[in-house]
Amino acid sequence: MNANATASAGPAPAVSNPSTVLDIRDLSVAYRTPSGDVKAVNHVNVSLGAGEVLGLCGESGSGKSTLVYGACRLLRAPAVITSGSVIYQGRRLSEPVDLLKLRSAELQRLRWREIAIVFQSAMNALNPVLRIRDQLTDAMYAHLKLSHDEANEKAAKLLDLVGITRNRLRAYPHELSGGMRQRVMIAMALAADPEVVIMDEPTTALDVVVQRDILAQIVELKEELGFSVLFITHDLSLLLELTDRIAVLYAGQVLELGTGDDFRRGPAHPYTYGLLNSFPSLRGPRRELAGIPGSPPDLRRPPPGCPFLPRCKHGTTACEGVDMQLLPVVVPGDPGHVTACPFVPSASAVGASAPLSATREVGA
Amino acid sequence: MSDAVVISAAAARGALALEAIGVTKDFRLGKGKTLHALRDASFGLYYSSVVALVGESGSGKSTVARLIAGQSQPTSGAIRLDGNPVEVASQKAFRRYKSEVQYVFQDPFSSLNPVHTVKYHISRSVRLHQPGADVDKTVDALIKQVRLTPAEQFLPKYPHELSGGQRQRVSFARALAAKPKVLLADEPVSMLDVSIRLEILSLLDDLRKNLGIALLYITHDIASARYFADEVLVMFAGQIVERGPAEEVTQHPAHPYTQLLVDSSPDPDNLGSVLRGGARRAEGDGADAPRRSERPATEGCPFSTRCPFVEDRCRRDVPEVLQISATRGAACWRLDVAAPGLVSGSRNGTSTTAG
Repeated sequence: MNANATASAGPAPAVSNPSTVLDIRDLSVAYRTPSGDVKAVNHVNVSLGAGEVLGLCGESGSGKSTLVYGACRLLRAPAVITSGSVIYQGRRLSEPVDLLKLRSAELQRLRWREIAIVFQSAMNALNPVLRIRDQLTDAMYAHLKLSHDEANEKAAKLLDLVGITRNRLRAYPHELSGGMRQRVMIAMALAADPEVVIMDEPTTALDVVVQRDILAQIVELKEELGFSVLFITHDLSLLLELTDRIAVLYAGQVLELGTGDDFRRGPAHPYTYGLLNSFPSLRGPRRELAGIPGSPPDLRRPPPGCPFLPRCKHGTTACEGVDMQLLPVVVPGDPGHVTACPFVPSASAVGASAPLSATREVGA
Repeated sequence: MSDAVVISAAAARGALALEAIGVTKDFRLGKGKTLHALRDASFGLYYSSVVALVGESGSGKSTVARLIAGQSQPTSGAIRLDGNPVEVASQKAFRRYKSEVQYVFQDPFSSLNPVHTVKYHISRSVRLHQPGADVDKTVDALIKQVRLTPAEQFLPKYPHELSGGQRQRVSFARALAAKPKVLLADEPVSMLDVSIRLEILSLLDDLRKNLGIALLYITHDIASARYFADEVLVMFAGQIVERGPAEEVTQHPAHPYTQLLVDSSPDPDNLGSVLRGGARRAEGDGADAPRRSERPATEGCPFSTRCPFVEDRCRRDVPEVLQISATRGAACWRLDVAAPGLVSGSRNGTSTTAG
């Protein structure tokens, strides 16, 4: 399922991997501003396999949301898609389609039925003056041809699915806890039995206990209903536990892509290494934490070469000429593990890619 | 109450700065209903030390901070700063108290005034709290202290020109302008990016060390408390249910709620996690499902509705803090079952058992 991960920024191959549901190729999105284009997403290649949970990880402003909203054509001016294709190949469709080339009526038919989104800050995404039932059925009337009774019955079933009692259908959003509102949003996304569910920071505002319940439920539903998940978050520790593969985004580019095991064994990009060393761990010996000094670059005038260079401990002048192609990490010998940093072997020699377990312990 | 015998793990760092004794805060909800936002909380903040207050939203963390900051009055109990009762009745007294106890808010995006520059924010605080000081010089020193360099580049900027981390540094500089004894940091990093958080936390750590400030670090992230705090207080439904040295509480949680909190935190090294679909939930959905939607109990132990070790006594009586070791305690009737390795023998709340 990782076969396309190394696809270069060149023209997209005609045939994609049969198990790939959503294939984002060479996607670039820019925000037109008076002071120049903000290149929020730059030639990104990411593919989502059937039944896979793919994590997109990055800081605020790294382009995670822009990437998926751009791929679903949910962005409006001043955002423009400047290059790329998004091939969607659902089981219910006879042939693959390019979402970026569809007419809006065709796109409208795909949305929600095939690709659904759980929006960021779902806490506030519900309309405060409408009952839960009306909001659930509203999405159904818009995307499915259901009668009034069918929609109501379906809404009740959806609430069952996410573990909320049916009598809550009459409730207003303020009467529900944050976790329940989040569940309603997930129920809404699952209304049309979609193939791909995009989750944009679905649990960021929640407590860890509630977060864990909801994530466990998402995984359960995924196993039961067989959809694929594109999970966006800034919390890499969460993705390591939750996802099959993780793409690390920085300044609108993918810096590293691999499985959680790859990341645990040895992150190949200095940025990933920095991220892994930024969050305190609750378990195991106390590690020495480093963090990543500095802040992301101005995307109106991105620096030449690697965008992480100004913050990178191992940066050299050679990094200014890096073309940001994703290359396989040869050291662990896993073809699916790719990185944009061509200096991995030398970086590991200076300790940048030391596995987590080998990092120094500090006194308790 | 009996938790007075638990010595704070933070006490080793310095002298007692601020003390809360049996502080309770009730809110009247109307129709004769009362919300117990905080019940009988006793703890101390010590100079040069960090006490972390950990709990879910609605557990009363921010109520504690507001009470300590003098922004609201406790229903009962007392708060003492350097042994003197807190006096905030008049405007003048409140301002005097504020210069000793400063508050840093969670959201650096809304806690700074968008129409004023960085320099204005800090100099205003300097003028208020350090009358007669050389304002420019003091502002310059403060901005260097929070590591916003070069200072002359940041001073004329407006909040929207700064990143979240930089804004939070301005908030800290503004708080430090008052030369506080106690700094209340209410979720200071939860709005920031992971890569920035560590720098802010290490900045806080430096302030504690260099200026001898007593810090209350409020967070829902128990992992950061492990690295950063001396003592951890775990709150649930307005009660401090467990307290002790950060490393001990996070590695060997005693109270069932703390155990749930620790188990729920993301664990990057957990390969067989239920979240990866590797293993199905061991206990089954039936055991798990009711736990999440339950509200805290209003009678007895507030955690009794979700606790796996619950017995009749838990539903009836509010548990007292049972001492586990000299510096640790937990409010649970069933510690012998919940944490058999930590406590042995009697489960009578008033007896003390050395761990």
